[in-house]
Amino acid sequence: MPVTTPDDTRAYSDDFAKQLFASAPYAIPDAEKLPLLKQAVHEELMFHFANNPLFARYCENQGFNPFEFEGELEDLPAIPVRVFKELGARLASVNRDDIKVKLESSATSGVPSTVLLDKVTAKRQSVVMSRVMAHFLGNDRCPFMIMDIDPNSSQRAALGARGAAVRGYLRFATEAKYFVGLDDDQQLSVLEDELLAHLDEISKNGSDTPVVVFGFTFVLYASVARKLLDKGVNYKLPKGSKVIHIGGWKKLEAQKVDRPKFNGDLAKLFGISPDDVIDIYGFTEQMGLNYPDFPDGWKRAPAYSHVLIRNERTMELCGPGEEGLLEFISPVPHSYPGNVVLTDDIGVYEDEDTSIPGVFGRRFKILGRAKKAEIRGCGDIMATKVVQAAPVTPTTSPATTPAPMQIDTMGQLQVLYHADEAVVENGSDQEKLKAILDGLEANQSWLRQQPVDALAGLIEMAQRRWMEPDFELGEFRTNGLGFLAEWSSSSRLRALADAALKGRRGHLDGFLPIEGAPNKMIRATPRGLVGHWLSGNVPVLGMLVIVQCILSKNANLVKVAATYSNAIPALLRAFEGLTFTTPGGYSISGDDLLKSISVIYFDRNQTSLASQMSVACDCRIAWGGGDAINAVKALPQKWSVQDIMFGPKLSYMVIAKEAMPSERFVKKLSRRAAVDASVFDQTACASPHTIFVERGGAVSPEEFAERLAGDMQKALIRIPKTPEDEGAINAINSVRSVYQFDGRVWQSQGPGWTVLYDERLLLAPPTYSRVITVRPVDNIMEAAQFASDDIQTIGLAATGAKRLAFAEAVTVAGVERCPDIGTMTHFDSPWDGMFVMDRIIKWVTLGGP
Amino acid sequence: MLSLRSYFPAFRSPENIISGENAIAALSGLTAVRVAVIAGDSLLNNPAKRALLKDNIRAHDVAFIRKSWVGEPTLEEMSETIGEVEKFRPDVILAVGGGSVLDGARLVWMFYEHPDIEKETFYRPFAIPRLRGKCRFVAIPTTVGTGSEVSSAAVISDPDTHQKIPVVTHDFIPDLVVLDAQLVVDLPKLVTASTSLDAMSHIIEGYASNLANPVMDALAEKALQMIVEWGSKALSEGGHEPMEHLLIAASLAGLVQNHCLTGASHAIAHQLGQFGIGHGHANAIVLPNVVAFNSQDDKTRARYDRLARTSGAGETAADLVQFLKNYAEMGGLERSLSVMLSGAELDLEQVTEAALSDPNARTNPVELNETNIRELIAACQ
Repeated sequence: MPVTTPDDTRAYSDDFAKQLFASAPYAIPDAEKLPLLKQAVHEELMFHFANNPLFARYCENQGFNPFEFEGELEDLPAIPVRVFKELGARLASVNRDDIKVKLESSATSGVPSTVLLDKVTAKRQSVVMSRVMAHFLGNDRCPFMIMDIDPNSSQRAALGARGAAVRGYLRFATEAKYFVGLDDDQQLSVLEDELLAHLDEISKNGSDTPVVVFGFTFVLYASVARKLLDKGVNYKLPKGSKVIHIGGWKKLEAQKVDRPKFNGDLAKLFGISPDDVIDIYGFTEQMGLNYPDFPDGWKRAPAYSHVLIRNERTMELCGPGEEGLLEFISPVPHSYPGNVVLTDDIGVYEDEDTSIPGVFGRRFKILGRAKKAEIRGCGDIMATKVVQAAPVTPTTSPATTPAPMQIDTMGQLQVLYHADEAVVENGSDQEKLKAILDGLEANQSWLRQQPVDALAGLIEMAQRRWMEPDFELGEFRTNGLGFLAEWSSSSRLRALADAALKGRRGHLDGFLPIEGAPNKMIRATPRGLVGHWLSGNVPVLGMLVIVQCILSKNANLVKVAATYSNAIPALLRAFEGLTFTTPGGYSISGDDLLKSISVIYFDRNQTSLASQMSVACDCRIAWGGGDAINAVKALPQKWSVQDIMFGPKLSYMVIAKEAMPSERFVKKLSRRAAVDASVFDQTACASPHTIFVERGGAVSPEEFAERLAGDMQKALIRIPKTPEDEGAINAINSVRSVYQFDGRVWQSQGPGWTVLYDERLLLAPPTYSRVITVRPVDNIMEAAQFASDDIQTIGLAATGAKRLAFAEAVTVAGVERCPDIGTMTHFDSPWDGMFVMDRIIKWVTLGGP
Repeated sequence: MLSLRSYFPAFRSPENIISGENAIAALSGLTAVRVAVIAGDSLLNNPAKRALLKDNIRAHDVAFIRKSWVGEPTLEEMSETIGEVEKFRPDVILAVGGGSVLDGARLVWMFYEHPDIEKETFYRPFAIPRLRGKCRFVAIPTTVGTGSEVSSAAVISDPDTHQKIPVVTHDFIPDLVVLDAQLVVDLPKLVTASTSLDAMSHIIEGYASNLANPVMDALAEKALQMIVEWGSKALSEGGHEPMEHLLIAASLAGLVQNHCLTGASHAIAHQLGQFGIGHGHANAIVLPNVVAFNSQDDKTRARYDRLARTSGAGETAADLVQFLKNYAEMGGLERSLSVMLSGAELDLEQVTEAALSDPNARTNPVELNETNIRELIAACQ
């Protein structure tokens, strides 16, 4: 749609908005409300378009011109909340002088959203909030018992952004008392004595003035209600009293507390009806609009807003009963373009009903947060590289898909692979694990006697089986299994072992002389038992290390996670029945080898089993995010244990102007960069998310981004993409929106790939799913400032002394690899900054000092 | 340190070549834990020579392992020796013997380090994965001609095709070579003659080869000069000093061969092994005719002339030819191919075809074809 210049002579009108704000919140049926709402919102959008250049740019990129708009509410372009996180502070549609308040969200989910409020918007917020709350609390103010820190206390710093929300509700209070403080561990804790005294006083006085208990959902429950209920406390508040709470359910859901339990527990504690426990939904981007629960459990859109639900994958409108992302449309925001906001929350609506007399407005429920893309660890990386635990979208399940192993996640020890099953049939979990550990220890003596090259030969035979057409993980051949097999070829393993073990893998078979020290010899002895803690989506990644552990003659106990496929057992079963015989006639059998490897599962709460496993290990290897790693680190352990922890890492790419002296070089670099940004859909810790391009090459950084877009499209065909889940699509759409405000976007028709360009000197947060951000630098050394221990790889295209200087700077700062562009995700040794095999052996000496 | 993408003349040699009086004592400086000595019967059955070795090796453990093959082995023929090596787990393989022992021991070493290596890999030149991850290699020659102690190749027999395949990697060049005349002083005259003629064929063919270069010229000229000076004495009288010179000359000749390859004489001689004619002896028959044939080319003839002069063999290529004939006669080697064949039928077509496809045919200074190969064979009759 061609965009025309707005007609400056056309005056802004808030007549429609005023009509709505003057209405009782639930008094207007949608048939009357929506036409008014559309016109009111339309007025606001025209205002923003004329007065907010970033919003105008967004509209242009969306092909939307409010001055020519003739569509319906659902045709208005929604702004994802992420835009307010990244650009909120710049999204004013009024003069800076008119901005009275800069409002930031509590940022429980990371980066806070920012909205800029003028008097008009603040007043509207106040009006609509009052009208909605009055509907629930009545027109009279009442005393508030606030289950949070007193903003006037010395502990107020711990209140943080919750303070603003608390203040917003104080307008409904005749008085406010606070009943939460910090305990000795600086944790939020109920001020039990004060609260009980206050409740006693209410009871004693026989007051019939209703009170409001107000708090954040999690604090109210975890820090107050549960503690008091555990002590058998319960009171009866005056009739008409209510509990209102805000802030979301995420943390409580993790603790398996649902709404009925929450409402029931609070009702029991305060002696009120569960119907009077009211959850209020709201979000910073449309502050002032509150959505409390009605007694029927539904929320309703008041006269001041409307709610739509959009399909997470397609962004199409959902019908009644269909789950999707919540989109709210309201004329309230005037000083910033927050009128049509796509949230990160999932919900569902039903048609307007008349079940509550006199209450109109679309009814809806919040079902939870949309799935998010999180920073992933190297574990994810290799998992994607090798085999994923389960297809992301199980819409078409090939016949060859291995059946996921059934794991009872709440159950006890489960033995998923153990060569001698009879050993572990009976007894308690601890006894079974002991039997496994004993078996592994007994078989270490056999393993230690095996020549390293016979072991390599046996692994070579198994890896050939992995690539046979009828192998049970065959469908993953082009999705990582091929890499694993190639990586496990005997010649590569020997080279790997030579590189890791002072040039000679023979150290594993016996003492060898040290050059230059004629009387001294060293050898590499296995550490003993290696415990592997695999994270949820890294089952086959573990195999890369297990192979190295086998080669270095260590026994292996592999603990998999609940989201587990049968990959490791399947890979191990390939060893069954194999016999490798050397040209000299020495034979080694796969069945014997398998006696030194076991695969188990137990629930994360089984701390006694986890401890039993941990203290038995001579080396512990853990994959995954920070929580998983820390959980393993915290287990009891041998004082001599060797830990190898593969935690989360990120990577980026740097291109110097000297690497782009001509069109030919640009083409080649762009093609290779597209490969790095496409392989494994960027889930590798070695995948780039940002490309810093130095100005002064044959093309500008922006032109490079455009070339890259062309090559991303080609790569999409050459390297098929794993179907995105809803979380990824949401993230892609959000980040595309941000750059439609400020920056440039090149994108595929669907979510396939996205190239972003802006001129900020920052690392782009990873969106994954082939979203790559190009940013210019005047000198590549500017990009060295992002090097740290958290950066694994910097793909580097530079030449000569400049290349060396950059690499020296970033590796000193913590970066582990500076490979050529196009090979960033080619895993090699050293790996994650270490020769893994060198860490799973001990160097022992004979002779000399 | 050096990664070459195209051919340049280069110099590759063992890390150490020890020679001189009682050079074998250098073994005492070898830092090793377990040394596997691979040798043939003649050495293993000689207590004095066994003792000479054992007394000089200062490893924790030494095993004498008998080679289980004859000539150019198949894998099966080597398996017994490989099994002994696997069992002993040496960190040094020390091969003592003639070309068959040294070549075979190299192959044993390769299979010890890469027990699952397949012929598709080792039949391809320079495709073998790195050696020395487990073991190093020491070579001690007990003949004066093969040059195997400095070679990058070892010949394996394919039991299915009966072809002899050169297995090639520069990793085969030993870490240490010991040249000690004590081990060759009692060599029979015929063996001295045939192996030193083999050395001369390495020198003369390498010198004239398409791959010749000045560094190798220097080695070739010196090597031939040593043989011219000491060869007749070695044949007639034997003795420590002449044999020591031949031993060193043979190693220098081996370096020349390893860098420059050879030519028509080797291409044809390799085909005569099937008639029971030893490699050195076959070269003694063919080489004079090849030098005469290549001398048709002025440039090559000039090279021969120069080699004749610098070595003291004479002034011209013709003198060189005459020297070779005289040397063979002095060594008691029959020079007639017909006589050597003693009635056996030589399939001229097969021999010609095989000679033409021999890698050494490609480095002969005069381009070879079916006709001139046939003429050369005829000249040997």
